[in-house]
Amino acid sequence: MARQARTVAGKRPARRLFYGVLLALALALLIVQGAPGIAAFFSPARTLTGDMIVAGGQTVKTHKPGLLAHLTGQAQNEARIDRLEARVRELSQYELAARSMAQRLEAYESMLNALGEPPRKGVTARIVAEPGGPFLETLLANAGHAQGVRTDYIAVNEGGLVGRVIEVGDISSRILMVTDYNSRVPVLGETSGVRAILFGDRDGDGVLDDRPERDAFIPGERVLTSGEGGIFPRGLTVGEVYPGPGSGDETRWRVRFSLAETRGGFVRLIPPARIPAPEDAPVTGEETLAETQRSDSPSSAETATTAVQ
Amino acid sequence: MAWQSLTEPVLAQWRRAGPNIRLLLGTGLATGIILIGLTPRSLFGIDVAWPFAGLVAAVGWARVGLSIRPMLALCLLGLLQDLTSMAPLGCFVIVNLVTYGLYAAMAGALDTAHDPVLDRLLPYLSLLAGTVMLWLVAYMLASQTVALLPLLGAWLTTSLLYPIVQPLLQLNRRPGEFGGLA
Repeated sequence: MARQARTVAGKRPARRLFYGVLLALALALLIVQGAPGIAAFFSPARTLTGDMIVAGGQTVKTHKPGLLAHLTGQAQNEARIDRLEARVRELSQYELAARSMAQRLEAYESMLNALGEPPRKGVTARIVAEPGGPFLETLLANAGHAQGVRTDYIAVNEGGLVGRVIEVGDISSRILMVTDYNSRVPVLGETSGVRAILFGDRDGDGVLDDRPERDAFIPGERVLTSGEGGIFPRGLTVGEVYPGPGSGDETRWRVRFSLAETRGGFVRLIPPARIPAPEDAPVTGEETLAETQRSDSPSSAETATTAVQ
Repeated sequence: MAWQSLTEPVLAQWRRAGPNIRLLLGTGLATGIILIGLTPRSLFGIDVAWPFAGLVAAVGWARVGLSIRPMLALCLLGLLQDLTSMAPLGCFVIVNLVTYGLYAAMAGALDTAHDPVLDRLLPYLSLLAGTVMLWLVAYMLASQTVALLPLLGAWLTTSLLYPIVQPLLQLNRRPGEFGGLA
């Protein structure tokens, strides 16, 4: 008995020491991630976890309906619902495209010779995880590098802008939601045309900040992406403006996100509207401005024609 | 009677199960709860607060004092929570371990075996302390004030989950007993 008591008493400090070591290791792990290089070292672990969750989710989803489901008609109903949902998703893309085109037309009328947005291609993905908690507001979608998704791809759903892809795994991608505090989206009021930067707040709505024009928004107007910054294409619906309580006399403009109204469990991932800078995509030929002007002028064309004759 | 004849062998098997089997089962249960929590959780348009399974496991296993294997299991659960919730690695590990140590220390110091009120109250206080700790860690690491209401909701659901799964987290060991579990 005394021997057993001695053994237990002898092991207790060892357990406390082990506890202390584990806590210190966890703390050290947390602190070293302050360095971006070390934080990036752990990034593959997150993408791998995302891939595993997506793979698990797909295994669960691809079950075949049973005999009972066929007999009761449940299988046919589910198939019909799936078809209709797919159709609604497809049509909602047309709706978004139409709104975007109206915006563009307006811009073209005011700016002659303006170049349009590049054509958008993308992939529709299913949301397989919505990790909650006090940290980043993200979604995990079941399309990744293998499906052509890359970092900075834009996620939209039937309601409008959902967020931006911040991490890509082989078959999964993580989307930073537009409702998160760390997300920054350049937007403009649909009617007022006032520009601002939008970010998420704690209550689930957005805050409009950094307005270069300092003008007021029109309460109830829609907020669209402005296309500035080169990531979000112009004209994607983000939400609806309303005036919130601000500090002093100044109104704090808030946004009720439209993505929350239609959380259908699917997102479309489209490439960012990034236009490469001239130094990133230089002209490949030797043609200079002087040569271009020479070739464009009628006299040079006439000269060339005469020479040929 | 027929129901009893079905459940009795399972219960007998469970009563005979050693600490290692119980620890494995508890870890699997907590992992399952964490993974289910990744699915969309809205009910009639209202977001449902999901319990912190790591905290439940920490409090459940700490009833019998400090042990090495539960600590390792809590580290694994914490890492899983960090990876799935986009938290910096180590956040949930620290929160789980601190809650585990806190409850083990309190249970050892206050002799909860002979005080039923303390025995029932301390787990919930420990869960609250763990949630507050999580809020503090998130507050220190984030560049904004972290919303309290969702965390409060998560603490409530964690407190509701605890009495349900607590029998499955008993390690079949008396406080201070060393045999088998290390």
